[in-house]
Amino acid sequence: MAAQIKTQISGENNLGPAEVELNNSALRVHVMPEDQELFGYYQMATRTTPFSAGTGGINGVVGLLVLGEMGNVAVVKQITVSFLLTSAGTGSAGQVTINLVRGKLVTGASPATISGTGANQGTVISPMNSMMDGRKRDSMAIPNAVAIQLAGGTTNTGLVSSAGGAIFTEPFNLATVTFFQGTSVSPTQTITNLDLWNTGAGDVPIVLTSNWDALAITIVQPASSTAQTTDISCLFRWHEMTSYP
Amino acid sequence: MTSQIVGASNNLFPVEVDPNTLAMHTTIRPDDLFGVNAPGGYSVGAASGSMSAGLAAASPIYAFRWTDASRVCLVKKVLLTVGCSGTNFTAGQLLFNMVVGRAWSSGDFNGTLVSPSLPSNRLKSEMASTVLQSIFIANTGTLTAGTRTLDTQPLATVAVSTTSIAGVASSGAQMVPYSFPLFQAAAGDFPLVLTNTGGGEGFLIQATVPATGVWAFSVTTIWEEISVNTGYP
Repeated sequence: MAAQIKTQISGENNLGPAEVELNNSALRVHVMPEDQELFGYYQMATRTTPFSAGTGGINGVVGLLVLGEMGNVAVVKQITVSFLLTSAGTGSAGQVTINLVRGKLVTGASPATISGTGANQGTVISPMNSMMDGRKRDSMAIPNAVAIQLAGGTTNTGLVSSAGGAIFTEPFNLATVTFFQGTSVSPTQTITNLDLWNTGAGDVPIVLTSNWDALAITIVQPASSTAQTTDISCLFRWHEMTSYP
Repeated sequence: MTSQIVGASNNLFPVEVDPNTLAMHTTIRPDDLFGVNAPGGYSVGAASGSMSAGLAAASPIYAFRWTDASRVCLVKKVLLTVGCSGTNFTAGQLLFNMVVGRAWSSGDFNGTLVSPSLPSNRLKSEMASTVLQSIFIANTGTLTAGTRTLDTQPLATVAVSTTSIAGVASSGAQMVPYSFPLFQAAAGDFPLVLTNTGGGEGFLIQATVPATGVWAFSVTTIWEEISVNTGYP
């Protein structure tokens, strides 16, 4: 029988070896975030009130994450949406559907010019208050991807390419959640931080690789009556690398 | 004797070990689905329309069918949401089952086809297009059953009593919570593995609902595809 060679694993700076548990003989590990390389980890939230009173929406865009053209990729870990239907006014009962769909800005469009293309899509308020926003550590680089907050009071359907807008979207959604809003919303109807996407340990994330790759959150909602307001916020959490994996 | 572990391309700086907990640094990566023209990871979400009341017991409302021989399908997550419209249900039970279908030689149909026939729904654009045969989701009524042999017992079941929501359904009662994980294979868990055995395999979501009441549901399914030559596991 060949002799067994026992080797201990020592670290780069800590030359003391890693531990192996006494009873279950498992190697003791410390799970780290994926390597950010020269880039970083980012999280950003946006908020919009998509539809004015008396209008509804068919695939109105309420949130966007768009990859810029600096060349690195965005590894998207989590996208949540919060939905609030206020008690003001009397709503129209019906089915509400919120979707996550992959897309791409049309050639020549950019986050800064979305407001200039298509019809009825509202106005981009700002990609970010500052290009340095959203970093989870101050020393991290400026993100390549940007979360875009859309103006309220419109259907935002003009953003989708079928309406001559700025985004080509894929024909089927990546994720969908549906529910009903009622005619009387007292108490208010609230959904808080609903995961449209959540990459668990070992799950495949959504990876944006090409310039202007985008993820859009869209909503289909019945027309509302006077003074009823929908308030939607989106949260995007991602990190950036030169390539993935 | 101690050794240090270095990487394939980073062969200069070895893995670190924490000085106090003596734990080796690691990162967790997903299954290796990222080669050029290799299969990949996919996700599809879809919603029904307003569903009819009083469906027959165990009516098929969602059908995910796999028939390809070159790849194996690993179902990782099936997320279900069910809500009630302004028409209340009578008192009773809503029951949703996820059931595996085998020897699936003819697909369920008559709902909305949401299969990503175009190169879409990839989690990374460079992944190969899916070869999934079909996803059908009910629109207003039950799907028409195909030819398949269902397991006797479901993989997962969620039951809801409508007595608890009577009178509040007009404000949009949520009967199955948003994106409820009907099936979920976390890290280290075994996924639902589908092959083309017997003409194909897949899963159904079946619904049993009381006599009155209008409702809608959505399903998001996340899966991976690997070459049959890779083997699993």
